[in-house]
Amino acid sequence: MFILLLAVVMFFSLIIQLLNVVPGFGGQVLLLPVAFFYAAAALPLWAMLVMAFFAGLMCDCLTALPIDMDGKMFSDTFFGWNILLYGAVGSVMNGLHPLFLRGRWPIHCIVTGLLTSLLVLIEFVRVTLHREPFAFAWSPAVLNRIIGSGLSALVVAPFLFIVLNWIGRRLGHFDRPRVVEPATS
Amino acid sequence: MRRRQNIIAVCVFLVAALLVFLISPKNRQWLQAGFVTIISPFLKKGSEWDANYKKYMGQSKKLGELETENTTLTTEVAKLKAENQALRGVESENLRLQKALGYQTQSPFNLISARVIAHNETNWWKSILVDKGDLEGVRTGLCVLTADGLVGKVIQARPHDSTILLITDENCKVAARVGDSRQPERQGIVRIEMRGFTRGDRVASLAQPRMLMTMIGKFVPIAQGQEIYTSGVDQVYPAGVLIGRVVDSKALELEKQAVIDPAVNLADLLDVFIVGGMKGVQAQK
Repeated sequence: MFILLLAVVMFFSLIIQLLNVVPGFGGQVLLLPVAFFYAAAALPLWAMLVMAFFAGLMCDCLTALPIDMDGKMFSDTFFGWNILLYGAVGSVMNGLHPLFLRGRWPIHCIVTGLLTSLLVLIEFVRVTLHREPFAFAWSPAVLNRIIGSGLSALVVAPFLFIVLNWIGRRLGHFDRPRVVEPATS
Repeated sequence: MRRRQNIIAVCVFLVAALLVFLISPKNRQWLQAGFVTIISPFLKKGSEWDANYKKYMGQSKKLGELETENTTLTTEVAKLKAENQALRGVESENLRLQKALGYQTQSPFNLISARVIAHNETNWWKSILVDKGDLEGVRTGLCVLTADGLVGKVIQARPHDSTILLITDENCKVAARVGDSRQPERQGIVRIEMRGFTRGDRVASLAQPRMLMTMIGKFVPIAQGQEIYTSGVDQVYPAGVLIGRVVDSKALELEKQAVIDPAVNLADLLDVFIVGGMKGVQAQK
């Protein structure tokens, strides 16, 4: 039940992200990764992989765009790439799953910020290598976009985590009452 | 036991990802269209709420009736300006052709007004979704503009919505000319360029990225603030639509390049017009 709910949350996170109504630092607020990283922290590995598949597929549907008139030649992201990417970064967060169950979720908020920046950075490197190998154009704007996405995620994450933790407890997802308050010491 | 389960889960995930890789282009487009069709009603409703909210916030300053009238007139003016943009280049050519061939164009372009329902500017790609599609006459490859100038082109048209690739996406290239002149040496290609002296423009440092016009004749004088228009050579964008204004230019060994500031604020698009072709062309004896 909770897994299904998280999938719905991810779906609507993407909708809000696309509507571009939440102001961010230096770029769009990436709500989908934040919701996904919560799922990666809160769920077991198999469920995280299901979520990674779902999130990646949604991203691929929106970013793998045809750039020619016939719709045959696609832009520089190949279909399925985001599934692997979400699976890989989700695995990092899922490694902290035991810590999450012990109620140390503020750590996961910080990791969410870092991983969101990593996600954007990997995309940048991949796009750059695809378009013009060995011509990395680092600029303040690029760094601003990478770091800004992480900072935005860092700000949004605690709110989303608190709400989802509360819902998770209500639904009885967490069998032990440990995801209640952040650790004070 | 748990370890074994995890290994199986990872294997299943990888196989599923591989299957997605192997999806044929046709099925992939079908999948994409299906997904956008699913999210489209939510986006339309969301953008409607957003517009209503902005309108509500604006109403505290103005009277209701005047606001409505003003909105209608503003839209009308924007539409006429956009029409004018699209017509600029073909006007003189039309007159010439009318004389030469005895043809008479009845009316200008058929503009389809569309509302932007999503800004898909995630990371490094620049596209938007609009609320008009196949059923309203939108076709793949059609030019999109506003009253201020060129926006991009339609890359996917679905029954009730379409995806527009913005001119600030690196995959978008536009045949252009400097000023109103049709001289070959004043023509070139406008695109987002990463290398050279505009490096770093893959993302916006301020509001939006600047573009680069290449392949201009080496001895063509280019002044700062000079307007760059579509040339129509690519047969995607009608000639004479304003792309942007020159910010900087540089002569290289064989050509001249110009850095261009887009005429349209692409970060804040609400309504666009899709050029749906000519309204009607009649032969007159």
